[in-house]
Amino acid sequence: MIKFDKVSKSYKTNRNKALNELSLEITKGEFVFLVGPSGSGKTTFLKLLLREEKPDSGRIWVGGKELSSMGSFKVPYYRRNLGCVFQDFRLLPNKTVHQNVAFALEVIGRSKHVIESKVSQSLEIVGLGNKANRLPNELSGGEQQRVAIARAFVNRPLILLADEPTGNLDPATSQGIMRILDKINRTETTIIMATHDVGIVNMMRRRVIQLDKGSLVRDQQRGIYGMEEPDTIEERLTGAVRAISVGTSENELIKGRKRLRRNSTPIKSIIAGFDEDTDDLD
Amino acid sequence: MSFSISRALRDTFINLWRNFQYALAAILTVIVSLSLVGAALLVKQGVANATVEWSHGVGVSLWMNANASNSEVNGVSTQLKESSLIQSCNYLNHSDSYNLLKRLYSNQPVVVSAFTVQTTPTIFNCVLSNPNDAVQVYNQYSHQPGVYTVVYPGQEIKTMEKITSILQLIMLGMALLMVVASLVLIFVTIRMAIFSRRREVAVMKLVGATNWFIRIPFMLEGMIEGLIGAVIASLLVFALRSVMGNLVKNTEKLGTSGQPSLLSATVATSHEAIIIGVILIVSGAIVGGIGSFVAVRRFLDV
Ligand SMILES: Nc1ncnc2c1ncn2[C@@H]1O[C@H](COP(=O)(O)OP(=O)(O)OP(=O)(O)O)[C@@H](O)[C@H]1O
Ligand SMILES: [Mg+2]
Repeated sequence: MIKFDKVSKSYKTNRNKALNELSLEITKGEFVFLVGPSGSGKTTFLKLLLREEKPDSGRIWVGGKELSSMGSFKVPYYRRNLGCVFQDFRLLPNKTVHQNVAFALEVIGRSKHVIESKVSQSLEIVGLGNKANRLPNELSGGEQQRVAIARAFVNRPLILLADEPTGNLDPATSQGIMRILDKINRTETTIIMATHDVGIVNMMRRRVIQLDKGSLVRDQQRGIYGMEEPDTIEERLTGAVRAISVGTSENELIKGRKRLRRNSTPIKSIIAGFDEDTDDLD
Repeated sequence: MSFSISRALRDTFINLWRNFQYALAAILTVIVSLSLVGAALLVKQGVANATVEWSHGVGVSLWMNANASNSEVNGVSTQLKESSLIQSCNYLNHSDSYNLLKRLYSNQPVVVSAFTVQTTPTIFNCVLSNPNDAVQVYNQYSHQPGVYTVVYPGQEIKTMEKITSILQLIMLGMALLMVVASLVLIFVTIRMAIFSRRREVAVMKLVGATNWFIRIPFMLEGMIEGLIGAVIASLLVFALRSVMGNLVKNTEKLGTSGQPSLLSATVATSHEAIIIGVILIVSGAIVGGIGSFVAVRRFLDV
């Protein structure tokens, strides 16, 4: 489905490589967490998949197509196979929930009839069928992110890319988002999610790809955020602190501590809640 | 497809409305620049018409001295008959030309009373074989004994052409500057439009809208600004034409010569004004298209 072959990428204004000889494969229907300290190249990885950037060297195949040799007029059609979700939602503030989701289909020329049915389906999946006529600023952050997911999924993409989709959300809300992503993943949609959210990675136990300074440092099935297997919640938290601390900048440590503080109290209930809920998702 | 066309048009007008101040500035400069172009074309066409009109069957008039001797008159007459430059001549003797004078200046008896039959110059009115030879005839005959002066309308035309060509040059120069200004303003308007819709554009790119789908509303916006300006400019040019027409008519009424005024030919016909209007409208669309295309290329590429 997706194959990176010795992909390197550096930005003009930056001497260090954002990605360094990265090789990996992701098969259809996988759920992959992309972790690593700030600046390790997670967003760059996603941008390369979106063909917003091209690699300096190496090749990327998606669904049998090689991205750097793809003509630029083909890129829009290629992108119709992808869905994207970001930390900052990127909704259009003057359009309603329904219009935001419909917009994604309108601009690729789908008929009104198709748009109507697909939009309401997609809003049902994210549980916002009853808020279709609200404006984004009348919604909570979690709801806005669900609209963004509905928009990303409305055209039934093969791959869903998510760049820190829970970065702005509290743990309980994040959990709701993960439930929806999990549900989408079960429709054979490949999901690649860059995240710093220790709790979520450790709960979901999906494939974890860890980057550091642009290089692959770990690729683990049913992985966790940190390097080691934690047994208790306490150990998970310690692991989380260590993992976060891989980013050596002070800023990152502070961020990590904050995140930890946020996660520490409710994490038990989240895990409990999550395990309970996972079964009745479909 | 029709769905996306109506959508593109709707987007375009919403944009125009949002960007009203910039759009207005752009449209106004288009109006000014294209009106200048139109006026220059109008004058140019007028002069061209006048030249054609007056060089048709154009004649020269040789005015003899009032006291020219018979032999001097006969000499000139013979020369004119033999000259290959001249097709035919008509001689007005003292009483003929005095009658003509009386007729032309019937409302100005003072002028008439200054002459008697004997002091009125006699005139050879000649038709040229080739209208372009007027200057040659002038050079040949104006210094002949007994000849007072040689008059041909070509002189007036030449002076007129010179003046109007300078005028045209100035107008076209100013028009060119204004066209550049309109290009820049349309470019700026479209840049603002792109900026104010950057969120939509980002989403469109993300979900795979084609480049043309994203570009067309902006390009349409620029072209519509150019077109609105051009339509108003052509209306102004039509108005200018009829104002010129009326002015000329009035001066002719006031005029005393009794001959068709040289001016009357300088007004372009309404048919020509329509062609100029079409030229302006096409140029408006082109200016709008270029201005917005450059903006779209600079600020909208993937
Ligand atoms: N547009 C850009 N121009 C120059 N350098 C860039 C650009 N985007 C990213 N970089 C650099 O490339 C490296 C990788 O950045 P990237 O955004 O991929 O990291 P990340 O893993 O997503 O970080 P974070 O977790 O903070 O989002 C960093 O060193 C960053 O400074
Ligand atoms: Mg990032």
